[in-house]
Amino acid sequence: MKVKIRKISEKADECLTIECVEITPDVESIRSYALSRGTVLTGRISERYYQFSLASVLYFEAVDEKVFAYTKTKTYELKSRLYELEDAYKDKMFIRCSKSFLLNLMKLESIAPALNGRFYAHMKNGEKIIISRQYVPLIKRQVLGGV
Amino acid sequence: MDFRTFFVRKVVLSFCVSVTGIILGMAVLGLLFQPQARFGYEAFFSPLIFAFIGSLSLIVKYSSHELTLREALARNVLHFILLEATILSFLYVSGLLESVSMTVSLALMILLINLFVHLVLWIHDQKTASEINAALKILQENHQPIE
Repeated sequence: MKVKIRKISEKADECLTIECVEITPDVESIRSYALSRGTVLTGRISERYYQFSLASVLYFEAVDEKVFAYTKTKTYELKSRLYELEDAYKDKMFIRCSKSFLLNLMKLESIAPALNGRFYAHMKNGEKIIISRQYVPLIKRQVLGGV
Repeated sequence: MDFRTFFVRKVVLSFCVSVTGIILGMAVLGLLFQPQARFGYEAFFSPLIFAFIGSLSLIVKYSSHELTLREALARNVLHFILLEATILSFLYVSGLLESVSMTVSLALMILLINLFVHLVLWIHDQKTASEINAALKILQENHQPIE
């Protein structure tokens, strides 16, 4: 596949066009990734609101009634529910790995089995997250499907 | 995970692996303690019965909610204690326990079979993790951000 990059002057006019004979999983995957790079979220730290890119999020976590987005250095509180984020970003490399976590596959270093029948997700920032056994087939399908 | 899925994935798999382990254990211990013994066709039922009793106790590990690491570990210990108690009690009531050394050997055998089951599950998980990790690497290489 040829790749062309053309510089333009206006940020608002930025656009990615994919010309293909058929919409294959590869094409879908590129589309999803491009969309996730451009997505901006709004989150709260203390009483102030900040904008941050979806691509910078390592994972989302639901704690009681609150949902937090974790980036490499910051933790933002969001207004959305975890299932809403899951629905919105399931085609943008975000996948549910337990009842309380939604992780970014692009920020996942590797997974390894834990001794208690579950798996650990080793994130690129060194954090370890528990993956419930029931979500492993979903992750496998998503990862293999996106290759 | 609902109870039906748990039963099929955990209890049935454990039953199959346990039958293999028990046949192996019976052969080794039989050759050591009663090499002259001969059995009828009913002997084929013993591994099935013991594997059934053993695998059924796995139900204590079922939970509809997400278990913490500590809870999961506590349930593993509880399962092992239940396993030893049910199998040894069954043998005692059936009048098959003849000596202390035999009781200790059987208790050790149950421990070894339990470890064997966990080892098989861990090897299976390790294989799954390796497949996911290999596919993940390709997925991420295909979606390197343009900086």
